[in-house]
Amino acid sequence: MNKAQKTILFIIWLAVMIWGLTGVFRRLVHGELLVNYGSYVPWGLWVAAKTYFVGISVGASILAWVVYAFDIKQLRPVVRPALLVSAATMAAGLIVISFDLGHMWRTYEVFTRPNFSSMLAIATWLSMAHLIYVIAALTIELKPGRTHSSTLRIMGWFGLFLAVTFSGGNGAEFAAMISSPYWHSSLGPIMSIGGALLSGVALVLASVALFPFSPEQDNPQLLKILSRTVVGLIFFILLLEWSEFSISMWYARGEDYNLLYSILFGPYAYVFWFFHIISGSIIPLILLLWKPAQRLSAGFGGAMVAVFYFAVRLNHVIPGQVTPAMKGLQQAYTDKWLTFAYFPSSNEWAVFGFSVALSVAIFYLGIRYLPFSTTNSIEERGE
Amino acid sequence: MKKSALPCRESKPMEKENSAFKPPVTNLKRRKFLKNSFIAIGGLGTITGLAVNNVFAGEQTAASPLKDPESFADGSHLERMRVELLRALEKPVDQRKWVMVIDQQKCVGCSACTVSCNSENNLPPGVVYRPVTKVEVGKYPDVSWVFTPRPCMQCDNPPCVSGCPVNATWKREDGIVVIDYDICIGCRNCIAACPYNARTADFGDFFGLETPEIMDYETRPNFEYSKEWPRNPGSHESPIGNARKCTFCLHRVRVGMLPACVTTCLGGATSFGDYNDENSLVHELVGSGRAKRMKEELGTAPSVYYLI
Repeated sequence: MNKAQKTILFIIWLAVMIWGLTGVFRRLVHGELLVNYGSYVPWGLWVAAKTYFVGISVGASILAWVVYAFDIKQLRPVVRPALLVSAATMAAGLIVISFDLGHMWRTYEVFTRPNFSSMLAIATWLSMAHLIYVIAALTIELKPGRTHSSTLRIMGWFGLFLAVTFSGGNGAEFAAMISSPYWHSSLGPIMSIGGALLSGVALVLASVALFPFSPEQDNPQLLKILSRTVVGLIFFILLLEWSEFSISMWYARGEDYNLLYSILFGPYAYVFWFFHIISGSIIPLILLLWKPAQRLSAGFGGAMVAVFYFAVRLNHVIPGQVTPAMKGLQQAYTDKWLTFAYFPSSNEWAVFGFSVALSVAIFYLGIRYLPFSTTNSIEERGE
Repeated sequence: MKKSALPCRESKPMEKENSAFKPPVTNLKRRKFLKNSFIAIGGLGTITGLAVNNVFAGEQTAASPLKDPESFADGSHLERMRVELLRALEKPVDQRKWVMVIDQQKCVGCSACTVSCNSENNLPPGVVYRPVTKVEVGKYPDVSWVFTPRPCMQCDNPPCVSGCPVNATWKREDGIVVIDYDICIGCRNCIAACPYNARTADFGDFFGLETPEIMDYETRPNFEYSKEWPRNPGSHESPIGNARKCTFCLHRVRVGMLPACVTTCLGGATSFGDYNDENSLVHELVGSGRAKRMKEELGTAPSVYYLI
C-alpha cells in the first residue's frame, strides 16, 4: 500500500471516528433521547451491531482454534490476524452494546447477581470468557520462544468448545424467545454459528489478502484455501436461509408468512436483495470463484461478505419485533416511542460508526506495535 | 287488565311522591304560599349544603387511604371488591392470588382506565401500562367494535422474569410481577421477551421537552412500589432507563385501595380480587364459563382473564 492510499484511508477513518465521538458524546449527555428504537421495537441498530461484531469475533477465533486443534500447517499464518480480528471486533461489540443499556454503569451486575436462566446472562458470561481466552491465546502466540504443539492442540479444542457454545448462545438469546415466532426457531443457534464462521473467516481473508503483514501471508495457496472456505460457508448460509424461508412461506399462510414476505418484498427489501444477496453473496461468489488466489479478488470478495453480512444481522434482529402482540396496539396509544416501525437515528449510526472505527484502530495498532511481522515465528514453533 | 309483574312498572308510589312536590297554590292564600315557599327553599338549601359537605368529606377521606380506604355505594360491585380486598389483605401474602377479570361485553372503549393509570403512575412518554385496543369487526350494516384493555398479564410463568440477566424482576408470592428499578440495567430483554407487549421502556422523555417549559406535573415523583421516584429533565436516575410495567397498582392495593383502572372503569368492566378467596367476585367470574386468557397456548398462564 503506497503513502497516498494510506493517507486516504486514514482520513476516512478519522472522519468516521470524529463523527462517532460526537454520537458517543450525545449518547452520554442525552441518554437514550436521540434513539429511534422504542418500547415496541426495543432492540435496534446497536443490538444488531453487537450480534454482528460478536459473530465476526467468534468466527475469526474458530479459524484459529481449528488451526491449533488440527495442526493445519498451511493455515498457520492466519492465526495471528484471526486472533487480532477476534479481539478487535469483540471490543467493538461490547462497546456498542454498552451504549444500548439504559443503565450502562450497572453492567457489572450481570457478573455480581446473574440469573443463569437468562440466555442473555449466559451469553454475557461466555462473551467475557471468550474475550479473555482470545487475549490469552494472542499473548501466547506473540510470546517469543516455543510453545509445545500439544498445548496448542488443547487450547484449540477448548477454544472451539467455547466459541461454538458462545455463538450458539448468542443465537439462542433470540431463538429461545416465545414472543416472536420469527426468532423462535431451532435453526437460530445453527444460523448464528454459521453466520459467525462466514463473517469471521471472510474478514480474516480480507485482512490477510489486502493487508498482509508477514511474507507467509502473501501466499496464493493460503488465499485459495480461505476463499474456498468462504464460498462453502456462503452456500451453507444460503441453504439455511432457504430452509427458513421456504418452510415458513411455502403454503403462503401461517404466522410468519407476512413478515417473511415483507422482508423479501416490503419497503426494506433492498436490505435483503441488494445488500445481502447481491453485494454480500453473488458478487463475492464471483470474485472468490473466479480468482480465489489473487489478492485483490480474494480480499474484496472477503471484505464484501464480511461487511454486508451486517444486512443479515439487521434482518434478523429488527423484523422479529415489528409484529404487534395484539391487533390495534399501535393505534391504542399513540406515541413516538410506541411504534412498530423502525429506522435507526443519525445518532445510532454515529455510535455504530464509533465502534467500527474503534475496532479498526485496535486492529491497526495491533499489527503496528505488536510483534506480528516476525517472519520466523512459525519456524520457531518447530512442530 | 293484568297487573305487571315487574316492580319497576308499578308507577303509583312514584306518582304519589311526585304529587307531594306540586305547589298547592289553589287552596292557599298568597301569604301562606310565600311563607311555605321560603321554608321549602330553605330546607332544600340545607339538604343540598349537607350533601355537598358530605361529598367533600368523602374526598378528604379518600385522600387518606390508610385511615379509611375509599368506599363505594353499598351493593355496588366496587364496594364488594373493596371489602374482598380488605379481607384478602388480612391473609399472609403467599395465600393471596391477585387476579383481574375484564368483561369485554361491558367495556365501552372509553380509555378512562388508560388515563387513570397514566395519572396514578405519572407515566412519561413511551410508557403505557394499560392501552385499550379497538378493533372493528364485521361488515356494514353488521359492524361492531371489540375493545381489549391490556394490562400486564402478571403471568404465573412469566417469560420476562426468566429473561432478565440480573434478577431485577420477579414474581411475588401474591402473583404480581415486579421490577427493582435500582437493579434493572435497562437491557430491555424483558420487553422483547413479553408476548403481550406489556412492558415498556422509560427513555427519560417529557411531554414538554421540546416546548418552552416542562410543566410541574411532569416533574412530580411517582409512587410505584410504595416508594418516591423523583423525575427531572436531564436526569438519568431510575426509573429513567428502566423497563416499566403495570403492577395492578401494588402501592394502592397494599393500603386497601383497588387499582386505579378498576375504580375508574365506568362500565364496571374490570374486576379485581383474590382468586384464592372462593367467595370473591373474580373467583365467580373466572368460573362463569366465559373467561379466556390471552395467548394461553404459550404456557405463560396469565392472571388476567377476559370475559368474551
